[in-house]
Amino acid sequence: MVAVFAGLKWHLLLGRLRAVQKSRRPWLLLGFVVVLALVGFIAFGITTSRPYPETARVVAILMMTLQLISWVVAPLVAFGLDETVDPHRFALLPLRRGTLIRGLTVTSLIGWLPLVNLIWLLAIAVALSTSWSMLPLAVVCVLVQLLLCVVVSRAASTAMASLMNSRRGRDLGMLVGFGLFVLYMLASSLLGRSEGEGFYDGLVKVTHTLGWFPPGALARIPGLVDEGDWAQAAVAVLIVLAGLGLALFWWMKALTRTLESGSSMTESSSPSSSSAEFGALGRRATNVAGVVAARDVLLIWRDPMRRISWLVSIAMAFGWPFLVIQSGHGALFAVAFGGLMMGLQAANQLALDGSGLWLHLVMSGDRSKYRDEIRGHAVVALIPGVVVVVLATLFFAVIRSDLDLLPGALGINLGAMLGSAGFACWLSAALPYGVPQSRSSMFASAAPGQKGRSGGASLAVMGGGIAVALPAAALTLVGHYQGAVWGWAALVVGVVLGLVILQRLIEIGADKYYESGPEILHQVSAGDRV
Amino acid sequence: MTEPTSASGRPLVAYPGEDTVDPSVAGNALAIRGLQKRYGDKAAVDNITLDVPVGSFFGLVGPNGAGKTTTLSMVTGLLRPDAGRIYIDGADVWRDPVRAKARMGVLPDGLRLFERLSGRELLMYMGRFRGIPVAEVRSRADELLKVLDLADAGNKLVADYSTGMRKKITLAAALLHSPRVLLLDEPLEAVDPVSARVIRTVLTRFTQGGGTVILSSHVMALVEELCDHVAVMARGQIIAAGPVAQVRGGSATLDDAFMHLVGADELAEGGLSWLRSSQD
Repeated sequence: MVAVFAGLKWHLLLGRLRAVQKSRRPWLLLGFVVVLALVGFIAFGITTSRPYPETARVVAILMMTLQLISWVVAPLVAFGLDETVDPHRFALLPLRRGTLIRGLTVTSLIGWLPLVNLIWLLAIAVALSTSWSMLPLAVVCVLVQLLLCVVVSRAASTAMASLMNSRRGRDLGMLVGFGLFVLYMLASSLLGRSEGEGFYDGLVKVTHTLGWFPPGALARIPGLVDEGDWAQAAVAVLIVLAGLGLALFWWMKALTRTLESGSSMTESSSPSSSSAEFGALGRRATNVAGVVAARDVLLIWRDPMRRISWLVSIAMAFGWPFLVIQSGHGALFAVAFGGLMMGLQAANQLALDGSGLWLHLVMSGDRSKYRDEIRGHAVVALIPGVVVVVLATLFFAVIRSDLDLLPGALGINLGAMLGSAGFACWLSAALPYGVPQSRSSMFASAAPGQKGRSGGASLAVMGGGIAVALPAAALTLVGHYQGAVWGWAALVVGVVLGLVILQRLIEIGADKYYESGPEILHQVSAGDRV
Repeated sequence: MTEPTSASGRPLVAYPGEDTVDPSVAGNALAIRGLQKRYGDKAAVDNITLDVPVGSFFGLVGPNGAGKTTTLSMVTGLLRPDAGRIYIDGADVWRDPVRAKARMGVLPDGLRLFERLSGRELLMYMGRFRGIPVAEVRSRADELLKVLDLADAGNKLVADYSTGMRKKITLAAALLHSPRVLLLDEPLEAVDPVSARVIRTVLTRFTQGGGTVILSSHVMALVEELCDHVAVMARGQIIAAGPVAQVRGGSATLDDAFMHLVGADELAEGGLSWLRSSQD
């Protein structure tokens, strides 16, 4: 039966590969090779810590602990990426619990992510082998670590299966994903600012505590055995066995509970209050664009998929300049990236409701309706976009004493935002792609087979925004040598050019939407199936 | 006449050709002339011509894959035909979409709604998008929710609606602007009996008020009970059309007539002998 499970996972992987167009498969394989080379390079980096046992131990404890946390969090953030994670799918099969556990363990170990984990773990085993005679023991330890990751991850995902099958659960997963993104930004910022010695000392202290948990204990075992500290090694083994046993017990209990109960009901997950007028904006709206904008604002508050992309953009507007320019002048120009991200909020706007686009198509007959709809979507990106870009630019101008650069920077940043919003509106109709409607993973931004369109459209939006900001950037550069008046010229040129291009691209995009509504509907409906 | 052009300078859609209205469409709620749609070598809809009289309750029946949904998608402007013309109450759907779309209400099968809006919000949004005054939309929405037994679920997200509730809220959205023709694709499929009764009652009242209902279904008993006119589709073609009694002909039921028309009289016999014994 275990072989059947292994075959199932293998066929699922092959099925995904087959779903990719034949012409794109070589590129996909090339991508895998590049990723594997990168993974190998990182693994090599890990092995270079072998001559420094203390450093190797610190690295191993941290990596193995983070690895376990990642395995637990991954199903919450991307529940739908692995079809075998949801135990409900096996509920009707006549399988005993032990068979199911063995089978699901094997399916967890097949795939490119387990392969990457294994490569890194073997590198850790090499790094932990203070003498080569310790290598077999270290390999056993890292293999137990992989098993521990699988068991804890499966236990957690099984316990959360009912929740993750509900709309609210998937919303929660998206929020967890955003939390991880913010943590990553903070960690990157801290790593970039820390003084080497002090930071390392802090990490060593943290690993002293983490060493008493199963992943840390596994990382310590080879060193303890090599030093002949058998008592501590025995304690570490007991910690590992206890952790593994508890995780297995949790998984079995969760599996029994999940298979004996139905899927989650969403009956009580509705909002208790309604805003049928779409808030203050909706009440004041006197035209189609206003009504569309009011609906979009409501959905940004209500739909985590829309909300999170906004939160990420705001975080990038204020966080990115700190990351790229950590001291000195010029950080306010880096807000342009946040501006591009703000403009990107108008991208692929016709696909966000999947095949729900039909509701607009059956109501719109003339070009003015189509233009109003696109304009409404654009307004929702532009108004908060302008506020965020202006505030972020002003913020960095003040804290870095760059007020003299403010006009030029505003011209560049607003030009980038308006330009990218314009290209986003046009490409929404010219290059639409299906957005997965199941919300089962915050990483799935395009329907299968449409990743190329998605990537191309996003790059074109960003590139378009940069192109629109270039004249303002040139004037700002001139201003650097010729005087402040050129900075003000950059502000005027950036904003005026951005607005003109935005208006024109909205018109062209709306005409394309008018001409190709049924074809766009067909394209974006692909998102319904995933 | 000068061809209208888009902002991008290209000519706007001139489909399906001449700007003339076929005089034979007068008096019909829906008139289809020579409609075609191909997917590769397969003709999903093969040159069909059909008239649906004003005020009729019209059933479009056929087995799965007959071309019903493809036809209705082209009629509602959601799928571009390869050839042919479609008139809703005299307005060409693809030549004069403003008038045609104002006159039709649509309930498609298998398409999503704005899932994160509540039922009431969906109706308010659609009414205001169509330019109906706010007070009027509110009044109509409340009445539709009440009649369709959705008043208690009005503030619930559409994402949390059952299949029956989804059909009913889509029907409410289709009726909101008081169309002359309702085009419904499988309106009662997978719907619970209570919701089905509500939907049937509303549709019957709509036709009694002078409106035209065109629905597709593969449930013959339903079509025979509700409809006064029927068209039978198979392999992308209309193989019979007219009043139900005429299409039924000498057969005892419409189901029998349908089986005869689509050539499914003789069901395969034999095989499956292993079903007689169950496994231990």
